[in-house]
Amino acid sequence: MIHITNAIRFNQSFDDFTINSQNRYRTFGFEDDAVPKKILERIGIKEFKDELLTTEESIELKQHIENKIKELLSTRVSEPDVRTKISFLGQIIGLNGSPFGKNDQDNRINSLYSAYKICEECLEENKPVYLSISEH
Amino acid sequence: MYEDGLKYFLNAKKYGKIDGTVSTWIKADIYTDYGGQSINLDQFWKARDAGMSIEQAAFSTFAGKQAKKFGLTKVRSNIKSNFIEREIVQINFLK
Repeated sequence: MIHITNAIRFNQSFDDFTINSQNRYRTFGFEDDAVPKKILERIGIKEFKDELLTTEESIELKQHIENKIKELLSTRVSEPDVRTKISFLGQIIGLNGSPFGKNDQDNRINSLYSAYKICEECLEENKPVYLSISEH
Repeated sequence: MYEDGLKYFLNAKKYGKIDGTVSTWIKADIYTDYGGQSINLDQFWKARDAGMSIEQAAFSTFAGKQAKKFGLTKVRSNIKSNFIEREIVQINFLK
């Protein structure tokens, strides 16, 4: 599993990490293609914890995720029963990731958006994005 | 109503063996009349901030109490489809 975080994640338990409201994280499987292969190849080991991305890599990661969100948004239909809203590239988009939603991709968009916001926050605050790969 | 729904899905043969549930608690406009967020989300974070673990906090919610009543005694919170964030909690109650 791939972890994208805005703070060091693996020096503490998951319970401790999540209780701090400043800590943000998002996890993906390799099949999600959420992280550019170039970044994973640079790190180059099977499992690693809390690898700092360079600013260039953080920008690249953010752009990669942005492109994925754009692709998923391009095939959405109008959603009358909005459950949650995201503000993406100047647009407010209403999502419904529940089984009653009209767009199967809404949960995936929400996950990617969460990672996108982590990259954005870290770049704006000039702090590193952390990447980890763990078995679970 | 929640109890009826849970009972139905856990016992309806056409759905096969049910291992658990997905609980999603969010902040959203649909909860405007309830303070802007799911009551379960509110209960979860109040419990966490009072020092409970994720599992203890999950079972302290209304949905968690119902889940436990129907034999869903474990909480899963760390797979990729789970969220433990202030604005969204998505966890599984499992047998």
